[in-house]
Amino acid sequence: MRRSVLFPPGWRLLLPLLAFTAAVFIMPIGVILWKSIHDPEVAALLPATTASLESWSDETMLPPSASFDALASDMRNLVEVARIGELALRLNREQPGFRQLVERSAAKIHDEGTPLVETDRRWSDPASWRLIKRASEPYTPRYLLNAVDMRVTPDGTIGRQDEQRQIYLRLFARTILVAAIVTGLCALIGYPFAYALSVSEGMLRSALYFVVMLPFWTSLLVRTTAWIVILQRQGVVNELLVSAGLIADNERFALIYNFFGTVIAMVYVLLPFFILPLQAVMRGIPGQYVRAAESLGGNPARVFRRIYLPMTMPGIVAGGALVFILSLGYYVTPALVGGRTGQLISNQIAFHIQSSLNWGLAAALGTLLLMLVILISMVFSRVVPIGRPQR
Amino acid sequence: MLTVTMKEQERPARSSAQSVVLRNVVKSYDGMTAVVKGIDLNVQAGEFLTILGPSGSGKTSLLMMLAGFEQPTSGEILLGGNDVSRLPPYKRNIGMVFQQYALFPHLTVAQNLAFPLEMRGWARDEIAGRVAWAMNLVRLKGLEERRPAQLSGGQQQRIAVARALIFDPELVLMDEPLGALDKQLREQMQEEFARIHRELKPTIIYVTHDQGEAISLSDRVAVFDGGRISQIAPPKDLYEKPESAFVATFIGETNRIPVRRASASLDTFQMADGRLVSAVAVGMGSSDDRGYLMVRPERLRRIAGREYLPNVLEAIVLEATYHGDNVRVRAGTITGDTELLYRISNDGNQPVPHVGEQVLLGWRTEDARAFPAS
Ligand SMILES: Nc1ncnc2c1ncn2[C@@H]1O[C@H](COP(=O)(O)OP(=O)(O)O)[C@@H](O)[C@H]1O
Ligand SMILES: [Mg+2]
Repeated sequence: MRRSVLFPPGWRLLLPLLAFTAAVFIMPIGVILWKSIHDPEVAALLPATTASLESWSDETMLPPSASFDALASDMRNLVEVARIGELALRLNREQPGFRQLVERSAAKIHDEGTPLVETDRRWSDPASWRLIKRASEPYTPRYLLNAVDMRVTPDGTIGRQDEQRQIYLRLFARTILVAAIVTGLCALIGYPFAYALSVSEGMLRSALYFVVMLPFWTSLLVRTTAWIVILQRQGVVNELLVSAGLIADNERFALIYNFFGTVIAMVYVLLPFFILPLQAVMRGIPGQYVRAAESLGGNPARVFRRIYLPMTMPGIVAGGALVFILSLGYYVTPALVGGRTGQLISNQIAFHIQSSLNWGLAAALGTLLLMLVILISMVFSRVVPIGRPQR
Repeated sequence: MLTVTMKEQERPARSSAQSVVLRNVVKSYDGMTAVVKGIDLNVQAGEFLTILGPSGSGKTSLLMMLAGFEQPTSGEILLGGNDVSRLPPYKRNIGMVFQQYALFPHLTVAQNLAFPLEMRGWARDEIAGRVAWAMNLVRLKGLEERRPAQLSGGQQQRIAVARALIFDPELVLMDEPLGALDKQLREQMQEEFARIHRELKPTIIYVTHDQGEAISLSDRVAVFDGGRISQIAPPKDLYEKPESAFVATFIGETNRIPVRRASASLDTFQMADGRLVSAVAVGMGSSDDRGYLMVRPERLRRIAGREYLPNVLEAIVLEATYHGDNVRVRAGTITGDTELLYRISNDGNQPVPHVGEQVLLGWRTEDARAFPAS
């Protein structure tokens, strides 16, 4: 057989993996990316209106009367198949107030036969029609814009989101902040522990390993719940503080259901991901480097800073990248112990998928999160070329 | 150094080489068995001393105590007259060359060399000057900006040596520094070490299990055996006047003939077949009855014509191996209980015996030594 660069010998062995990856990873991600810009919902609900608005050219004026008839008939049909609520909800996302407008007008058209213009004076405003035309376009930047607190105004320009609807940028910022704090704490706690693990032998090493691996042997849910038991107002920590007389009964700390609770529980859950790669790197560093540095006149502090720390940097970056990236997408822990101030972007994505059913926005937020992760991975691999041998 | 005739270079004015004194140094890792069992040693300032011994004889342990990575269980270590036994390594001013070089992989060659100087608070321009001096010393100018991984084994070795010497240490320790190199490079580096020692005259304690290195490099060699020094002497004395059977067999090749004491006379012995032979008795007490007579292959001669030697054995050639400059001949005595090895210089004058040929092999009394069997 001819050797080929594209198909190295044995490439067929990769097929199951490729198929699996394509089915459960690449495809869903593709769907998400697609959904964040593709939204045929309004066009499907309002087929006649969508078609008739295509010929509407001067958008400062009202559309032709055919469009009024088309919308009225579309609405009547939707009431009959009981899907008018979907349209109302969908348009309300574009412009608050539209839910009521759509539902009322549709009811009047259907029940009393009132002409559309007379149901509400907002139908005499070209802005309302522009909004419907924007919403019926199947390809739209609106979800991605919403995800960064921007929006398409009814007159088609791009502007800031309304003040009280600007939440996502702040949420992204909080997510990054939490990820950074969690990574920093993991580094502070994990580095000495990884060192102890890397130099220990025999029974002690097994014991330390056991401690690190322990979190992997219980379910995430159980572990997170354990934190609730420990940190809540009537929990172990507060009880101890009160019974030790350090704080009064009415001064109990709010250690959970807030930012602090999210951070502390996430540090605990993610610590192994920092320690394990780091200790592997540390174990690969022969003791002779530190000895050489000491014999050359370096006191322990300087040897650590000039020799040991730089040599363990690949481990710090690998562990740090892992923890940081996992933190960015963390969902269960903040959902359980985060309260109001400890919610992260993933919780918002879950909310839009499960409760508000705004899948387009959920997809856009997910896409943005994915971009963020890719960007950060690139930065990390710049700092320390992961995968390239160091020596 | 073995070659005393070599041109002595002037000593650099600023050398701070110091003497080393060990007094009854003992090391035990587990508190029960000692791996270093009471070493007394005086090394002069500027001396090149080699510690030679089989693997596991405690050489590295001794070096670790000198460097300060291990504490002696008892005894003292004096460097330039001061007791350093309790000083941490970084306060000892000792340069060390490790077997695996231990060059810092994340630093360039120049940064590796600058490290000990920075630790000593040297100024920037002084450091630059000294690094250039060191690169010159090991003849690697131009490689300053390389990383250790971009150097060959021999080049890494030179940088490791330069780094151990650059801060003008009171003592330089080398633990089997040539162990990782191939034979040709090893010989080249030996010459390099000899040159550097000649030029700078540092005090060097050099550990090896390779007798060739020990003999060609050192002023004196201390032969280690089971945590003790069994003999310390200049290489020539060690080779020609070993004081124990261990030293005689460990250094160079030797013929070993089991003998018994034959008479009250100190230098006459009896072989298994009853034949009487003579040798210089070393350490044979009056109670020692059995022993080994040892004679170097190059001192065992085939007797041609009417030459007279006090000790002569008839032997049959078993094998002759060609080695280029010489031929090694293995022969068995007629009675078949002793095997002998001798060499013929391949100078064109001496015929190479064929297998099965009968030869007469003899030695002078002063060329053989007899040790007690212990
Ligand atoms: N750190 C240590 N802990 C316990 N035993 C050791 C240690 N280092 C060396 N030994 C033991 O001490 C003996 C001498 O070892 P070493 O000094 O390395 O000899 P050498 O360098 O001559 O080969 C060996 O039996 C070795 O197992
Ligand atoms: Mg050793």
